[in-house]
Amino acid sequence: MQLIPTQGMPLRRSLWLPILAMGVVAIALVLVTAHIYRDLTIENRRQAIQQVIQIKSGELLLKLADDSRSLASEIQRKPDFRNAVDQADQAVVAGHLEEQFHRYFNTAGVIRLRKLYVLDRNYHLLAESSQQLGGGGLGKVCVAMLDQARHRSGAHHLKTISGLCAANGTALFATLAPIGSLQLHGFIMVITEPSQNLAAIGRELGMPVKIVSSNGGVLFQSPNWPAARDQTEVIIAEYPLKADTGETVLTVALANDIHVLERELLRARNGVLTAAGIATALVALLTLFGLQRSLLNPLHRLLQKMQGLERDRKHLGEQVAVTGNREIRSLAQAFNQMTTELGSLYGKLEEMAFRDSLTGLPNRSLLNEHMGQMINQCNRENARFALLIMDLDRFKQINDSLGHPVGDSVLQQVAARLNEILRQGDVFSRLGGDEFAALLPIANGIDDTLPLVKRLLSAMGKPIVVEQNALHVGISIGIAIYPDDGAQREDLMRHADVAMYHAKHNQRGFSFYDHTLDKNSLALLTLEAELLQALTEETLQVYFQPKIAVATGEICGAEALLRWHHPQRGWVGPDEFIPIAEDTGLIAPLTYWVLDRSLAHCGDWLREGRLINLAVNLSARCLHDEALPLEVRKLLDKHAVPPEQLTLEITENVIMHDAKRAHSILVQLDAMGISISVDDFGTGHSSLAYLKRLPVDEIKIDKSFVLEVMNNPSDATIVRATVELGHNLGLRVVAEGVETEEIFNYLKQLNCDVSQGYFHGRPMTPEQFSEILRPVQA
Amino acid sequence: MTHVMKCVLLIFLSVFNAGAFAEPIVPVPEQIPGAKRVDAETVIEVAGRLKNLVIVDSRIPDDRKIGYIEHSISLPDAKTNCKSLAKIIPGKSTPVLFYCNGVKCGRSVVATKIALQCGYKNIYWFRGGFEEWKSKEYPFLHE
Repeated sequence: MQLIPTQGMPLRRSLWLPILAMGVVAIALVLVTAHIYRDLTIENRRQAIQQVIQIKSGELLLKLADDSRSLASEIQRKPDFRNAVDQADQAVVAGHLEEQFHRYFNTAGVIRLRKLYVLDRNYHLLAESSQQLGGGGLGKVCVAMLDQARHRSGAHHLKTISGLCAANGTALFATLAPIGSLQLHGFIMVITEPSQNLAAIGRELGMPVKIVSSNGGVLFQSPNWPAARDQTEVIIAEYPLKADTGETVLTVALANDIHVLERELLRARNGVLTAAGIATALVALLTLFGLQRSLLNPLHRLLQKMQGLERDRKHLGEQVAVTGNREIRSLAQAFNQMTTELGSLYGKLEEMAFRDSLTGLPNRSLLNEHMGQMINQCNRENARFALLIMDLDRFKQINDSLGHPVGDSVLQQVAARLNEILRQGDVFSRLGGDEFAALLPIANGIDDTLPLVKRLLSAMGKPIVVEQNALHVGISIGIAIYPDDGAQREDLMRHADVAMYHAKHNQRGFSFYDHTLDKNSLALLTLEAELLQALTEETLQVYFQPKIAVATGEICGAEALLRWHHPQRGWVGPDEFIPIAEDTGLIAPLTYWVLDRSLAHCGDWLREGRLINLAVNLSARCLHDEALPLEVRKLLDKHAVPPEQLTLEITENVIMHDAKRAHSILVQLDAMGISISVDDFGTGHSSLAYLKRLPVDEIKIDKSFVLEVMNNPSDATIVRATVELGHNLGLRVVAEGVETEEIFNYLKQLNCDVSQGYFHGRPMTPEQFSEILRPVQA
Repeated sequence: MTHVMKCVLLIFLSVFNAGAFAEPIVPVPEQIPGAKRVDAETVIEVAGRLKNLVIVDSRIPDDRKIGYIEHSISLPDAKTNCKSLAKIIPGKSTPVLFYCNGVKCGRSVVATKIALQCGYKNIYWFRGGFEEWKSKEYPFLHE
């Protein structure tokens, strides 16, 4: 449970709140303490007054007792009184009492005499003064005291005793004094009313006094006794006075004005409150000041740095000052470490994003950026620049025949060589593959660029040496000028490209863009676009060429072949468009398209009970596509064709030169149950040992050997050796280019497994193939 | 020689102190051989038992004005001798009680010793005297 909701609140406020809360609690504590203190003080005052009443009333009653004894002493002083007592002469005694009573009652004033009794030595009433005491008779007044006196022993009967006693709702004070000193003659009992004497407490202490009897009757009340409604501002302290029996006889109450006390208490409380408030405020300010220095400021600096990073990554690696609490310091240290690491990481990423990893040259993205800047600069300065697009000639052949490592090395050397010729301020970039580009600011005119272009061409005239092979790598350069040949980056690129294509054909090695070029070059260029279009417009078709099992002479399979019927150009051979597709990345969709269509037909035939093995050619580029096995699997599933019915054909060159990359994909395909066939076997430089390690199921002898097998003995030897070799490796052997029965019979002799060629059938439409395929058996 | 010195010192101190306290300094013993020491209660008991008890107040008349024990006869110690005693005590074996102000007052001691010398046999000495009587709240009379 969260006492103070501080979620999402600024740190400073979330600190303020608890401090404020503590302040409020402190002041509340002061108030409560002040209240308790006030109550305690008033209670103490009340108790003190009670103690004073106790002491004072004790003193006053002692005085009253003394006065009563003096009176008793005075009464018995006359010998005839004592004699009358001894002789029990009631009349005389009563006469004495009457006389003394009036004398004392009238004159003394110090005591309020109510009654006098004389008792004989056995405590029997002998005589009494005539005043009425309400209840009458001795038997009813202060009985307990008399009883107590009667039960004393020996000399104790001579002692005077006195005490309070209640009689008939009024409070009396009785003193029993012996008559005689050494010898006991009887007793005088002096009954007085104590309230008047006790009222002296009020006078002495300067407080109003009120004396109340046991039954609530007011015995005395000062004139200035506070009225009931004023009693909130006074303390009433009451003290009960008791008889020896423990019975309360009367209660003395004093009223103490606490106006002054209250005022003092209030002043004290206000003082403490002010002090507490100031202390709280001081502590809060000090705490905040400390927190500001140790927590808030460093946090703020960190936050600012972070926000700076958010705005601009260039701040990565900048350090923040390490100050504040230990936690904040570790946070700042961690931040510094993180920003340093991120900075270097970001640098690497930038390098990776904008640099070509092979040559270290800027890539297409960076070139575009530079071109954008250059366009802006030229617009400002009314200047021009040239965009050169350079493409290596015959690079594909180098790559295909000597392998990618050699190709890579060639690219690196070319990059270095061209870079040497370019000037400071020129931007040189590798666009990808064997394509380079350069941005050249032009000082005077277009002719400025020509010498440089010629130097570039002549630099490439010298052979490039890789692994002791001297390779002649030509270069074709297309040049477009900004802003003459295009105001937009894209236009400029396209026009430089067109010029480059033109250069490939004009034998000069370079070409400036000219809008008349467009028509021609676009024809070549558009082939790519049209191919893409063909994929969607169905001008492509799959043809099937039958494959015959040599042993039985029956159709055992078919090779799917792509035919493009161009609406304007007519039939376009695969030799024309496949390289374009490979160069432009269209090869993957094209391959999948062929697979999809041929598997669709294959699936139909399978469901009709006509089992054939379908062979589809895979381009070298396809083996770089990690998604290939998954895509093939999807298509197999789509058309319900078991993988065993599919053979994928890869040319020997691809397998040998790109074996490492191809290997994992081939293994995956093999694991699925798909057969792998090596196409054009015999034209490359196969290493048999290598072949053995690959998951290959079939080799296809190149048709150049098979066509001449009957006329050329060396070809016949090659074919025979290849069949034997294949069988020894446990591979199926297919012969391509079988055009005559003679050749077919020869293959039969060699125990070649499968035969394919015009003798058995040309590539044909699915419908035609379906017709020659053995019909479903009833 | 030492005896003379002591006497001189004693007289000197007596004269000096008399001026200050108007009370002779006499060392009050715990007991007086030959006399029975009693307290207030015993006084009352003896007075009740022996009807012929003579109570002698050895104080000067001024002190007696504060109050006196009933039936006591005033005979200050300075006036106490065999002759004055004989006037108030019927016989040598009559019970007789001496008291004065209290333990600091030596008058009853002096009177008791004189009475012993005079040959009285039945002497009670109330050592606490009037102070004890009063403090125990026993009744006394005023002249």
